[in-house]
Amino acid sequence: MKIADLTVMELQERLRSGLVYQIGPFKFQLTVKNCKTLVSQLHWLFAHYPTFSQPHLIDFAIQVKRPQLWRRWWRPQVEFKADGNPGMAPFPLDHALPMLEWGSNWCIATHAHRYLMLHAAVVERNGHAILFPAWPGSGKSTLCAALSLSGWRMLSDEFGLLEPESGLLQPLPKLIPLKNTSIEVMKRFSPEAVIGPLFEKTRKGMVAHFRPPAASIEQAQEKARPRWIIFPRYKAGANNVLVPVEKSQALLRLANNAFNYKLLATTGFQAARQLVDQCHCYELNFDSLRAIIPLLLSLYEQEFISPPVNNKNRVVNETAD
Amino acid sequence: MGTFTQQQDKAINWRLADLGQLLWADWGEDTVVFNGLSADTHLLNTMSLDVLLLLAKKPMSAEQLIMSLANQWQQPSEQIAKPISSLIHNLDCLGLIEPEFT
Repeated sequence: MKIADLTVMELQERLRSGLVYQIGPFKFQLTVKNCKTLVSQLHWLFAHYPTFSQPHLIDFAIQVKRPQLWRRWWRPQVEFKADGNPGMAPFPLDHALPMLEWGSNWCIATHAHRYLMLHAAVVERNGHAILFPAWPGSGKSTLCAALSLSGWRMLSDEFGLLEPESGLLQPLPKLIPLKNTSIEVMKRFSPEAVIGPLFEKTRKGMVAHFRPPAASIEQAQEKARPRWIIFPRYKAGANNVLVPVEKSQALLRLANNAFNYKLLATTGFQAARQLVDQCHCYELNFDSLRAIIPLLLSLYEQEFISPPVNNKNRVVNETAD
Repeated sequence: MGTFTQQQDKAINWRLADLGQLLWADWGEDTVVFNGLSADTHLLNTMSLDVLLLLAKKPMSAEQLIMSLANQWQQPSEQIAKPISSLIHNLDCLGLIEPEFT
């Protein structure tokens, strides 16, 4: 059963006692009390996630609730609670959804150490994945959302979950928090983009959440083989060209960009080395989604459709402005 | 982990911190080494790699190291003495090499 199969009232009732839903490999039990707006937002944006009525083993028990006393009436707030101490200060009540998303990211980042967790977006085509490791502000989320509407399956926006034993990437199709100008960019990019309400003045500026396509969520158990590592960076006036990166440099950048690389110690290094070993590594400065989508498609086609080419060659987008 | 001045370096032998804790990645460009003791990852240029490879064979004093590298690179030892001493200091700070106490 999916969350969309419940009515809003049913969802509200289930959230009161603890709704169990699954994103990728993780089962969350979410309790929400006295946050009606959040319930309707979840009904819309979490529509495709599977939910379970029977008791299940859960990975994370989380709560979004309103604090007691006078804060119920004066500048109402909301709190995020989880096992452990996320240490999140209360948010304004109408920012409950971003709080839930950041709080659940905290749960994953601090517990899911069976994976090497790279700060990266991941998309896939026919089992072959592109990893986009990047720091905030690089355009990674916008790129990921656009590709997910352009023939690629979105695996993840925030966490590149790499299984050290298999070398495969585990999908984790959470909502994509688009920020500031990215929101308008995605709205203009495609009418198919499902984007939630606008949250102004969050700690990351203006945020709106992009809902992963249903297919990404339905196939969230299908892992993918990493083939390309591309370090993206949005830059006005960029030439939209893929430039090869030396593998040693790529490994170092990945190490500096992971949530738990040092914690995993030798397992982390070996997983990252194997990842780099099996991937072509590039850097991509871009300023146009329309220009780089065909570029990335041609990268895929050169590898898996056309005769193999020397991967040291520059891949230049001929159609870039 | 202690660090040593350039003058002290001449008197002591240097060795790899713990060869068993170092993991390597090499694709024919720069070399990456992971130090299991610190969980740090380092990008090594040729000079650093040569120093580590020599010390992996046997502990050496800074002076011996400079002589060996001068021979290997066919360069005057006076020319490389300063950068190698400085490199020894850096590798020591990173925990990749350590003084040998006997």
